[in-house]
Amino acid sequence: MAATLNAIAVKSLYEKHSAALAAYACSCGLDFASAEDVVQQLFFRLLRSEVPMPQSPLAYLYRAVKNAAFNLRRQRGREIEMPKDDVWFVAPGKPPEVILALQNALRELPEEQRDTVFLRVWMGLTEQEIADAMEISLNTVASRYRYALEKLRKGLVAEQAED
Amino acid sequence: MPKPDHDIEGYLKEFQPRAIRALQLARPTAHPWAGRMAVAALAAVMVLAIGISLWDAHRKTSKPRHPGTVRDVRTAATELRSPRSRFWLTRLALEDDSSFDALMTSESRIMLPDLHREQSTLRILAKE
Repeated sequence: MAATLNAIAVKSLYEKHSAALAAYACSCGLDFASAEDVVQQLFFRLLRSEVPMPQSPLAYLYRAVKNAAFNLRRQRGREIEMPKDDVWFVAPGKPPEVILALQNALRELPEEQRDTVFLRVWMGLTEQEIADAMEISLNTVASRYRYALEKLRKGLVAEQAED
Repeated sequence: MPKPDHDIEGYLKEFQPRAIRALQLARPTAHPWAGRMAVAALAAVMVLAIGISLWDAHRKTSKPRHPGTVRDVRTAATELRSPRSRFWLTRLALEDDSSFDALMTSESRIMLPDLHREQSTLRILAKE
């Protein structure tokens, strides 16, 4: 059942999840500035009530950002190089190389595993909510998450060994 | 750097997504075309204002002139013979007597007397 969120609710969603959504858009291949624009435009549409909000706003936001990111990349084509030092995470006390290593490892993940990690770790969804959002079984979510963490661990160790 | 598998989730949570700029509440209320429409409306108003001022200036400067040269007089005479000049001639008579008199004098010099009517000046003179 669709319902329209009021401006306060939309703003609250923005404050809590805009950063994670922008990082997710970056993991889909956008530079940070474009990811920022994509997320802002999405929330503007929500504020203007152009989009009826479904029961699970986070699942909707995640799908909307994903679609917008892929559409933008398709429009731009392949000629635009991603900036290699574009940082979309912060980690106090950690050098930039460590942050870039995590970003690279996330980009290397298969799409469905990367989605699961973002929704679970940085958007705070439960496995059941992820299953509903992605329309997959709970077991599939659990296995994707497990595989993703394993690949991330290996990827980060490999990056550290290269350095 | 995380080593054991169970610790990787905690390690990932040490990284926080970079904050993005604040949502501007004023921006979404503006229609994307509003700015362009405002510019177009302003341009239309300016064109209209310029057009009106040019028309007004032209109207003021196109008042009847004093016929100074032969060419002016002939032009005035031509206008006099045309039906549409009657209004202009009436206005000239009302607004500028001296110009009207000058025009009439010039006109009388260059226009030939009428020889066809019975009461024309030449026929009367010939009879005398």
